[in-house]
Amino acid sequence: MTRHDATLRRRRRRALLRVRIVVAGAGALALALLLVAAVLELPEGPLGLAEEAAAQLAHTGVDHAVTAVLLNYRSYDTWLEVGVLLLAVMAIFALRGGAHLENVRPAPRRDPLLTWLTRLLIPMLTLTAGYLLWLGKFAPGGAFQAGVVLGAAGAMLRLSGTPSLDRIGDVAIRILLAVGFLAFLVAAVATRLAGLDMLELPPGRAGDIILMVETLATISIATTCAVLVMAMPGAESPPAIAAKDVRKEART
Amino acid sequence: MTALLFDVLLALMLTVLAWRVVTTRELLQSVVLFIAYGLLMAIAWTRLDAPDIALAEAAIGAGLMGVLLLDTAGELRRRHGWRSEGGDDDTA
Repeated sequence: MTRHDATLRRRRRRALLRVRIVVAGAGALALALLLVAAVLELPEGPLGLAEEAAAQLAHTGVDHAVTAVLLNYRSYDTWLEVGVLLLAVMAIFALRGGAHLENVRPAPRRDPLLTWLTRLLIPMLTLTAGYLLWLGKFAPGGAFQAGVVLGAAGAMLRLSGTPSLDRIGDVAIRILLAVGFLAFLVAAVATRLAGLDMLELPPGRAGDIILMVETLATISIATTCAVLVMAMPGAESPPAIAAKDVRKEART
Repeated sequence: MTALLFDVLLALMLTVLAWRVVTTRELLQSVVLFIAYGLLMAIAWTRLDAPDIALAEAAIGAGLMGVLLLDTAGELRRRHGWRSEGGDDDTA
Protein backbone atom coordinates (compact mmCIF):
# COMPACT_ATOMS: atom_id res chain seq x y z
CA MET A 1 0.00 0.00 0.00
CA THR A 2 2.66 2.50 1.08
CA ARG A 3 4.91 1.25 -1.70
CA HIS A 4 2.17 1.91 -4.18
CA ASP A 5 1.82 5.44 -2.71
CA ALA A 6 5.54 6.07 -3.11
CA THR A 7 5.63 5.05 -6.77
CA LEU A 8 2.52 7.15 -7.37
CA ARG A 9 4.16 10.17 -5.75
CA ARG A 10 7.35 9.64 -7.70
CA ARG A 11 5.40 9.38 -10.93
CA ARG A 12 3.47 12.53 -10.10
CA ARG A 13 6.72 14.41 -9.33
CA ARG A 14 8.21 13.27 -12.61
CA ALA A 15 5.13 14.43 -14.52
CA LEU A 16 5.31 17.80 -12.75
CA LEU A 17 8.97 18.13 -13.72
CA ARG A 18 8.12 17.34 -17.33
CA VAL A 19 5.42 20.04 -17.30
CA ARG A 20 7.91 22.53 -15.89
CA ILE A 21 10.48 21.73 -18.57
CA VAL A 22 7.85 22.09 -21.29
CA VAL A 23 6.66 25.45 -19.87
CA ALA A 24 10.20 26.79 -19.50
CA GLY A 25 11.11 25.57 -22.99
CA ALA A 26 8.02 27.20 -24.49
CA GLY A 27 8.83 30.44 -22.68
CA ALA A 28 12.43 30.42 -23.90
CA LEU A 29 11.32 29.66 -27.46
CA ALA A 30 8.75 32.49 -27.38
CA LEU A 31 11.38 34.91 -26.10
CA ALA A 32 13.84 33.81 -28.79
CA LEU A 33 11.21 34.29 -31.52
CA LEU A 34 10.34 37.71 -30.10
CA LEU A 35 14.01 38.75 -30.16
CA VAL A 36 14.44 37.53 -33.74
CA ALA A 37 11.32 39.47 -34.72
CA ALA A 38 12.72 42.57 -32.99
CA VAL A 39 16.00 42.28 -34.91
CA LEU A 40 14.10 41.91 -38.21
CA GLU A 41 12.03 44.99 -37.34
CA LEU A 42 15.12 47.20 -36.90
CA PRO A 43 15.13 50.11 -39.35
CA GLU A 44 17.87 50.24 -41.98
CA GLY A 45 20.83 52.58 -41.70
CA PRO A 46 22.48 54.23 -38.70
CA LEU A 47 20.41 54.39 -35.55
CA GLY A 48 20.10 57.11 -32.95
CA LEU A 49 22.69 59.84 -32.81
CA ALA A 50 25.36 58.23 -35.01
CA GLU A 51 25.00 60.80 -37.80
CA GLU A 52 25.10 63.78 -35.46
CA ALA A 53 28.11 62.35 -33.64
CA ALA A 54 29.95 61.90 -36.94
CA ALA A 55 29.04 65.42 -38.08
CA GLN A 56 30.51 67.05 -34.95
CA LEU A 57 33.64 64.87 -34.91
CA ALA A 58 35.88 67.70 -36.16
CA HIS A 59 35.19 69.71 -32.97
CA THR A 60 35.90 66.91 -30.51
CA GLY A 61 39.70 66.96 -30.66
CA VAL A 62 39.93 63.30 -31.70
CA ASP A 63 39.39 61.50 -35.01
CA HIS A 64 37.84 58.28 -33.72
CA ALA A 65 34.09 58.34 -33.08
CA VAL A 66 34.18 55.90 -30.13
CA THR A 67 36.84 57.93 -28.31
CA ALA A 68 34.87 61.10 -29.07
CA VAL A 69 31.78 59.58 -27.45
CA LEU A 70 33.69 58.22 -24.46
CA LEU A 71 35.77 61.29 -23.66
CA ASN A 72 33.93 64.24 -25.14
CA TYR A 73 30.21 63.74 -25.80
CA ARG A 74 29.61 61.44 -22.83
CA SER A 75 32.69 62.00 -20.69
CA TYR A 76 30.45 62.22 -17.62
CA ASP A 77 29.60 58.51 -18.10
CA THR A 78 33.27 57.62 -18.43
CA TRP A 79 34.07 59.64 -15.32
CA LEU A 80 31.55 57.62 -13.35
CA GLU A 81 32.92 54.38 -14.81
CA VAL A 82 36.35 55.29 -13.50
CA GLY A 83 34.62 56.09 -10.21
CA VAL A 84 33.07 52.61 -10.15
CA LEU A 85 36.54 51.07 -10.52
CA LEU A 86 37.78 53.24 -7.65
CA LEU A 87 34.82 52.16 -5.51
CA ALA A 88 35.53 48.50 -6.25
CA VAL A 89 39.11 48.84 -5.06
CA MET A 90 37.94 50.77 -2.00
CA ALA A 91 35.55 47.95 -1.18
CA ILE A 92 38.39 45.43 -1.46
CA PHE A 93 40.61 47.56 0.79
CA ALA A 94 37.74 47.84 3.27
CA LEU A 95 37.48 44.04 3.33
CA ARG A 96 41.23 43.69 3.75
CA GLY A 97 41.32 46.38 6.43
CA GLY A 98 43.66 48.83 4.71
CA ALA A 99 45.35 49.89 1.51
CA HIS A 100 48.66 48.25 2.36
CA LEU A 101 49.67 45.33 0.23
CA GLU A 102 52.80 44.51 2.19
CA ASN A 103 51.21 41.50 3.87
CA VAL A 104 50.30 39.74 0.62
CA ARG A 105 51.84 36.34 0.40
CA PRO A 106 54.86 36.31 -1.90
CA ALA A 107 54.30 34.29 -5.03
CA PRO A 108 55.07 30.65 -4.23
CA ARG A 109 57.92 29.68 -6.50
CA ARG A 110 60.38 31.45 -8.73
CA ASP A 111 60.13 29.61 -11.98
CA PRO A 112 63.18 30.39 -14.20
CA LEU A 113 61.05 30.17 -17.35
CA LEU A 114 58.44 32.51 -15.89
CA THR A 115 61.12 34.99 -14.81
CA TRP A 116 62.63 34.94 -18.29
CA LEU A 117 59.22 35.37 -19.90
CA THR A 118 58.41 38.24 -17.54
CA ARG A 119 61.60 40.04 -18.47
CA LEU A 120 60.71 39.63 -22.12
CA LEU A 121 57.04 40.56 -21.85
CA ILE A 122 56.99 43.47 -19.38
CA PRO A 123 58.66 45.97 -21.74
CA MET A 124 56.46 44.77 -24.61
CA LEU A 125 53.30 45.10 -22.53
CA THR A 126 54.29 48.59 -21.41
CA LEU A 127 55.02 49.61 -24.98
CA THR A 128 51.73 48.11 -26.20
CA ALA A 129 49.84 49.99 -23.49
CA GLY A 130 51.41 53.28 -24.55
CA TYR A 131 50.64 52.50 -28.18
CA LEU A 132 47.00 51.66 -27.43
CA LEU A 133 46.64 54.87 -25.44
CA TRP A 134 48.01 56.93 -28.32
CA LEU A 135 45.96 54.95 -30.85
CA GLY A 136 42.70 55.98 -29.15
CA LYS A 137 42.94 59.38 -30.84
CA PHE A 138 42.25 57.98 -34.31
CA ALA A 139 41.59 54.22 -34.09
CA PRO A 140 40.17 51.57 -31.73
CA GLY A 141 42.10 51.81 -28.48
CA GLY A 142 42.20 54.20 -25.55
CA ALA A 143 42.47 54.42 -21.81
CA PHE A 144 40.58 51.26 -20.83
CA GLN A 145 42.38 48.92 -23.23
CA ALA A 146 45.76 50.47 -22.46
CA GLY A 147 45.06 50.35 -18.73
CA VAL A 148 44.14 46.67 -18.78
CA VAL A 149 47.24 45.74 -20.78
CA LEU A 150 49.41 47.66 -18.32
CA GLY A 151 47.48 46.04 -15.46
CA ALA A 152 48.23 42.64 -17.02
CA ALA A 153 51.91 43.56 -16.78
CA GLY A 154 51.36 44.18 -13.05
CA ALA A 155 49.59 40.83 -12.70
CA MET A 156 52.49 39.15 -14.47
CA LEU A 157 55.01 40.74 -12.10
CA ARG A 158 52.92 39.43 -9.21
CA LEU A 159 52.72 35.90 -10.68
CA SER A 160 56.47 35.75 -11.19
CA GLY A 161 57.11 36.90 -7.63
CA THR A 162 58.75 40.18 -8.66
CA PRO A 163 58.13 43.00 -6.18
CA SER A 164 56.18 45.84 -7.78
CA LEU A 165 53.14 47.76 -6.53
CA ASP A 166 53.13 45.80 -3.28
CA ARG A 167 56.40 47.47 -2.30
CA ILE A 168 55.72 51.15 -3.06
CA GLY A 169 53.68 51.91 0.05
CA ASP A 170 49.99 52.56 0.52
CA VAL A 171 50.06 56.35 0.03
CA ALA A 172 51.61 55.95 -3.42
CA ILE A 173 49.06 53.26 -4.30
CA ARG A 174 46.19 55.47 -3.21
CA ILE A 175 47.49 58.31 -5.36
CA LEU A 176 47.90 56.05 -8.39
CA LEU A 177 44.39 54.70 -7.89
CA ALA A 178 42.79 58.13 -7.61
CA VAL A 179 44.55 60.20 -10.33
CA GLY A 180 42.16 59.04 -13.07
CA PHE A 181 39.08 60.12 -11.14
CA LEU A 182 40.81 63.33 -10.05
CA ALA A 183 41.71 64.20 -13.66
CA PHE A 184 38.04 64.10 -14.61
CA LEU A 185 37.16 66.09 -11.50
CA VAL A 186 39.71 68.80 -12.32
CA ALA A 187 38.46 68.94 -15.92
CA ALA A 188 34.86 69.23 -14.71
CA VAL A 189 35.62 72.04 -12.23
CA ALA A 190 37.88 73.86 -14.70
CA THR A 191 35.24 73.85 -17.45
CA ARG A 192 32.65 75.18 -14.99
CA LEU A 193 35.04 77.94 -13.82
CA ALA A 194 35.69 78.87 -17.45
CA GLY A 195 31.98 79.49 -17.86
CA LEU A 196 31.29 76.40 -19.95
CA ASP A 197 28.98 73.48 -19.22
CA MET A 198 30.46 70.74 -17.06
CA LEU A 199 33.04 68.79 -19.13
CA GLU A 200 32.22 70.81 -22.25
CA LEU A 201 35.66 70.80 -23.84
CA PRO A 202 36.66 73.87 -25.90
CA PRO A 203 37.29 72.57 -29.47
CA GLY A 204 40.77 74.10 -29.69
CA ARG A 205 42.14 72.37 -26.60
CA ALA A 206 39.93 69.28 -26.50
CA GLY A 207 42.61 67.01 -27.98
CA ASP A 208 45.22 67.90 -25.34
CA ILE A 209 42.74 67.69 -22.46
CA ILE A 210 41.50 64.30 -23.65
CA LEU A 211 45.05 62.93 -23.97
CA MET A 212 45.93 64.16 -20.47
CA VAL A 213 42.77 62.76 -18.86
CA GLU A 214 43.19 59.48 -20.74
CA THR A 215 46.81 59.12 -19.66
CA LEU A 216 45.92 59.59 -15.98
CA ALA A 217 42.90 57.30 -16.35
CA THR A 218 45.17 54.64 -17.87
CA ILE A 219 47.43 54.80 -14.81
CA SER A 220 44.48 54.41 -12.45
CA ILE A 221 42.89 51.58 -14.45
CA ALA A 222 46.21 49.73 -14.65
CA THR A 223 46.77 50.11 -10.89
CA THR A 224 43.20 48.96 -10.23
CA CYS A 225 43.66 45.80 -12.31
CA ALA A 226 47.02 45.00 -10.73
CA VAL A 227 45.73 45.63 -7.21
CA LEU A 228 42.71 43.39 -7.90
CA VAL A 229 45.08 40.53 -8.64
CA MET A 230 47.45 41.33 -5.77
CA ALA A 231 44.70 41.75 -3.20
CA MET A 232 42.87 38.52 -4.08
CA PRO A 233 41.45 36.80 -1.01
CA GLY A 234 43.93 34.00 -1.62
CA ALA A 235 46.85 36.40 -1.50
CA GLU A 236 45.84 37.77 1.87
CA SER A 237 47.65 36.18 4.74
CA PRO A 238 46.19 36.79 8.20
CA PRO A 239 48.76 38.09 10.74
CA ALA A 240 49.30 34.69 12.37
CA ILE A 241 50.09 32.95 9.10
CA ALA A 242 52.15 35.91 7.92
CA ALA A 243 54.34 35.66 11.02
CA LYS A 244 54.71 31.91 10.43
CA ASP A 245 55.71 32.54 6.83
CA VAL A 246 58.31 35.08 7.87
CA ARG A 247 59.82 32.65 10.34
CA LYS A 248 59.85 29.94 7.72
CA GLU A 249 61.53 32.25 5.26
CA ALA A 250 64.17 33.17 7.82
CA ARG A 251 64.90 29.49 8.38
CA THR A 252 65.44 28.62 4.72
CA MET B 1 28.54 32.56 -47.86
CA THR B 2 31.77 31.69 -46.05
CA ALA B 3 31.21 34.67 -43.75
CA LEU B 4 27.70 33.49 -42.93
CA LEU B 5 28.94 29.97 -42.24
CA PHE B 6 31.65 31.38 -39.96
CA ASP B 7 29.13 33.53 -38.09
CA VAL B 8 26.69 30.66 -37.58
CA LEU B 9 29.52 28.42 -36.39
CA LEU B 10 30.72 31.16 -34.02
CA ALA B 11 27.23 31.68 -32.59
CA LEU B 12 26.77 27.93 -32.12
CA MET B 13 30.14 27.58 -30.40
CA LEU B 14 29.38 30.52 -28.11
CA THR B 15 26.06 28.97 -27.11
CA VAL B 16 27.60 25.55 -26.47
CA LEU B 17 30.48 27.08 -24.51
CA ALA B 18 28.11 29.20 -22.40
CA TRP B 19 26.06 26.09 -21.64
CA ARG B 20 29.18 24.12 -20.72
CA VAL B 21 30.53 26.92 -18.49
CA VAL B 22 27.33 26.85 -16.43
CA THR B 23 26.82 23.09 -16.32
CA THR B 24 30.39 21.82 -15.87
CA ARG B 25 30.86 20.43 -12.37
CA GLU B 26 34.64 20.77 -12.28
CA LEU B 27 35.39 24.37 -11.24
CA LEU B 28 38.78 24.66 -12.94
CA GLN B 29 37.40 23.29 -16.19
CA SER B 30 34.57 25.80 -16.00
CA VAL B 31 37.07 28.66 -15.63
CA VAL B 32 39.12 27.50 -18.62
CA LEU B 33 35.93 27.23 -20.69
CA PHE B 34 35.01 30.75 -19.59
CA ILE B 35 38.35 32.07 -20.85
CA ALA B 36 37.76 30.34 -24.19
CA TYR B 37 34.29 31.86 -24.23
CA GLY B 38 35.79 35.35 -23.68
CA LEU B 39 38.20 34.92 -26.59
CA LEU B 40 35.44 33.72 -28.94
CA MET B 41 33.29 36.61 -27.75
CA ALA B 42 36.10 38.99 -28.76
CA ILE B 43 36.00 37.48 -32.26
CA ALA B 44 32.22 37.92 -32.29
CA TRP B 45 32.61 41.62 -31.43
CA THR B 46 35.10 41.97 -34.27
CA ARG B 47 32.57 40.38 -36.63
CA LEU B 48 30.02 42.94 -35.40
CA ASP B 49 32.40 45.77 -36.42
CA ALA B 50 33.10 46.77 -32.80
CA PRO B 51 36.89 46.44 -32.49
CA ASP B 52 36.92 48.72 -29.40
CA ILE B 53 34.73 46.30 -27.48
CA ALA B 54 36.64 43.33 -28.90
CA LEU B 55 39.88 44.72 -27.47
CA ALA B 56 38.30 45.30 -24.07
CA GLU B 57 36.64 41.87 -24.10
CA ALA B 58 39.88 40.08 -24.93
CA ALA B 59 41.84 42.01 -22.30
CA ILE B 60 39.28 42.06 -19.48
CA GLY B 61 36.89 39.19 -20.23
CA ALA B 62 39.51 36.62 -21.16
CA GLY B 63 42.70 37.98 -19.61
CA LEU B 64 42.07 39.68 -16.30
CA MET B 65 38.91 37.77 -15.40
CA GLY B 66 40.74 34.57 -16.27
CA VAL B 67 43.54 35.37 -13.83
CA LEU B 68 41.11 36.34 -11.07
CA LEU B 69 38.89 33.28 -11.56
CA LEU B 70 41.86 30.88 -11.77
CA ASP B 71 43.20 32.45 -8.57
CA THR B 72 39.83 32.01 -6.88
CA ALA B 73 39.51 28.40 -8.03
CA GLY B 74 43.01 27.68 -6.76
CA GLU B 75 42.26 29.32 -3.42
CA LEU B 76 39.00 27.38 -3.02
CA ARG B 77 40.89 24.17 -3.73
CA ARG B 78 43.52 25.11 -1.16
CA ARG B 79 40.90 25.92 1.47
CA HIS B 80 39.22 22.60 0.98
CA GLY B 81 42.45 20.95 1.98
CA TRP B 82 43.73 19.47 -1.27
CA ARG B 83 47.32 20.42 -0.86
CA SER B 84 48.46 18.59 -3.96
CA GLU B 85 49.74 21.77 -5.62
CA GLY B 86 50.73 25.31 -4.74
CA GLY B 87 50.95 24.48 -1.05
CA ASP B 88 53.83 25.89 0.96
CA ASP B 89 53.91 23.22 3.63
CA ASP B 90 55.39 20.42 1.55
CA THR B 91 58.76 22.12 1.61
CA ALA B 92 58.88 22.52 5.40
